[in-house]
Amino acid sequence: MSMTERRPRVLLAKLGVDIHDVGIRMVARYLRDNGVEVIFLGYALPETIVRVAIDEDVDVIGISSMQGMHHVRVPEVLELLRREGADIPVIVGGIIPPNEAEWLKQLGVKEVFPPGSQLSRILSTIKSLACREQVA
Amino acid sequence: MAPVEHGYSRDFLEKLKSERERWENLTLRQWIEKTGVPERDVSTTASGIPIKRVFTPEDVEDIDYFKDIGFPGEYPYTRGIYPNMYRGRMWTIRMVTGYGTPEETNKRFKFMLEHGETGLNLVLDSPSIYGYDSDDPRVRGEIGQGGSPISSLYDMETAFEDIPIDRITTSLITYFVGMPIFAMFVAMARKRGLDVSKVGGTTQNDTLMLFHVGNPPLPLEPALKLSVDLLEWCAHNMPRWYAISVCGYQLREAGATAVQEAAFTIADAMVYVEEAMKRGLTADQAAKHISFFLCVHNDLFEEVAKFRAMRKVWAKLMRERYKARDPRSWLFKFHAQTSGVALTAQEPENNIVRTAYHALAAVLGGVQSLHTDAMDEALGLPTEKAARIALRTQQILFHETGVANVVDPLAGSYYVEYLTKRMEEAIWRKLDEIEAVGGMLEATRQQLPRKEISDSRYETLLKIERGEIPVVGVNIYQTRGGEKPDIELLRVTLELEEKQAERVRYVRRMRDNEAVKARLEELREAARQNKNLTPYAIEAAAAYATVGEIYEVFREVYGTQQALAWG
Repeated sequence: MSMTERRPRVLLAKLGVDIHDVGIRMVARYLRDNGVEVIFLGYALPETIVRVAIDEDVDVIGISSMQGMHHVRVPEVLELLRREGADIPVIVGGIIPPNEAEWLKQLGVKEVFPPGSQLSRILSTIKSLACREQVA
Repeated sequence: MAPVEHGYSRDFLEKLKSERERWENLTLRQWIEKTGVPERDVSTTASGIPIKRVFTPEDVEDIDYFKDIGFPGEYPYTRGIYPNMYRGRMWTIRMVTGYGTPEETNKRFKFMLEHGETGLNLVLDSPSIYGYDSDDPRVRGEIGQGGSPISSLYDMETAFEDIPIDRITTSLITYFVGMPIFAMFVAMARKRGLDVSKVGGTTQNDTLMLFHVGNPPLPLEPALKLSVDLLEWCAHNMPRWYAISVCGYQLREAGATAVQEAAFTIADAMVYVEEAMKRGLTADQAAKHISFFLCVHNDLFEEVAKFRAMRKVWAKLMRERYKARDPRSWLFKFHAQTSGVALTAQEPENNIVRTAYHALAAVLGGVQSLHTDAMDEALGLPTEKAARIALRTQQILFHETGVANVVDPLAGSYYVEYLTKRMEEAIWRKLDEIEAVGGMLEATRQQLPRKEISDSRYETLLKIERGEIPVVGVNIYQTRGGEKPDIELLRVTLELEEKQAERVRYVRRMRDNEAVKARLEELREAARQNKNLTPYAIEAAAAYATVGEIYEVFREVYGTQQALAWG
């Protein structure tokens, strides 16, 4: 591990125009209060998410999906990252039915957080993903 | 302090006090010592109103029956807006409906009506809510996910096919697009040859709420203007239409406490009344077109008190502050929806129970129309089965439990009357605070309610995280290894989405595009001249202009709103 350990930096975004944004705003606030540098993108499409993630050199991308659009847009994010050769881990939270959570993980999503997930677990996941990222 | 002539005599209260002290020192203390069970330390309601183990007449001695409670159907309406409430007519069962495509939505409407639904409640998908058409590549993957796509009059006609909108009332959950969606509904009614003055319903056309918790696409002033345009137009053309449904629901779901929900909602409604009066309408005319939409959450007695207190505060405001003369203008009419945020993805069947308790609170609180959430709310869209159970929950409540047989059955409960009074005081205090910063419009500009609601939600989340607020199946009594829900789930597929996109392309091919262009130009010109845009929007909708095209005119003329604070 390097001597100059930097704070984990995470990009948080909602896919598309879904109005349900309280969850991700709360996660953003919790992460910020617990030493994570948060870039809050609000509503965004995959191209923007991936571009900002690369430009800002984030350790983790966190995406919120409350109305099912993850089934189209999350694979697009993963595909764009691959095309850019950017090895940034992606986590997804929101209303994700269990079978779709499994499917997203098979596609390469590192973790899925359904409603009721503990904030501390989101934090520790991001920290460990960011850590792995920095060592790599 | 105690106005003896209104309540209990001084002798009685003195005796009560000494008896209560005796009971505390003897019966209670001995019981606790004998059982060795320490008492749970519960000192407030969910929104922070102080409570204690037992309430007695001492706690309601400041309440004057005639002034504070009265009779149902009479000022101040604490006990309900109608004299006999559900002994006359049952509340309206109005279930949120909409997913996939307008065809699917139409099927679900019919299914719900066949099973006893008595009012309609159309919810739009996110793209429609933000003014994007279903064939817009920017919203791929979002079509029909959380509601019905409504891109044009064609979609509206399909969603309501064979449904007698003149005989059943319709609520349109429109968020940002109140104007274009209302315009399509009116265009549809006219095309059917109906007299729109006889068509009844509601548009959820509450701009202020969308600044407290949403991410509005248009700036505040023009967005508010559009909301009030609709109200003004209805005042002259559609006497049975509630042009603005003032929303506490979304505030509550985003984190507001019961007190914040109640006070912010009423403060928002005051802005609409005042804006309408600035346009020359009377308070009576404005009141006729405003109704309310509230949440029912977990703390049952506090929720009942909230509804009772809101009725009272609103009646007083309309009568005394705005000088409305028609008693009907004093009535606080509300639709309620059971809390979605209180439901859990873990063990989803438990949500049936939660929703039933929420529905009970709404009915004990004197609700006019009610949506009950489906158990799969935290997992996805409601399946037919889940929606039917939610509907049956209301029917069981009305027909089997007996709770609707007596008007305002909790009246006279020392606890509920105490809570109602404290809730009322808390609402007035918050209204004073809002007044002190220059009124709700100014508070909204400063994003004060937004900040407060966000803070409340954060605080609650941390309490849940620490286990201070128990959630069964989530932070207590978790199923080991995270039981996988074995309920069936509904999924809107990309095929369905493509079908809907094709419907919009079909409309673009088939309509008279010259006419559409002309109507949109007239709308643009009217917007520039600051006219009431409702009639222009109706003409554009009637020519099959899309929600995206109409909204684009607004974006052009009014500009777009910067993202609001997220923290």
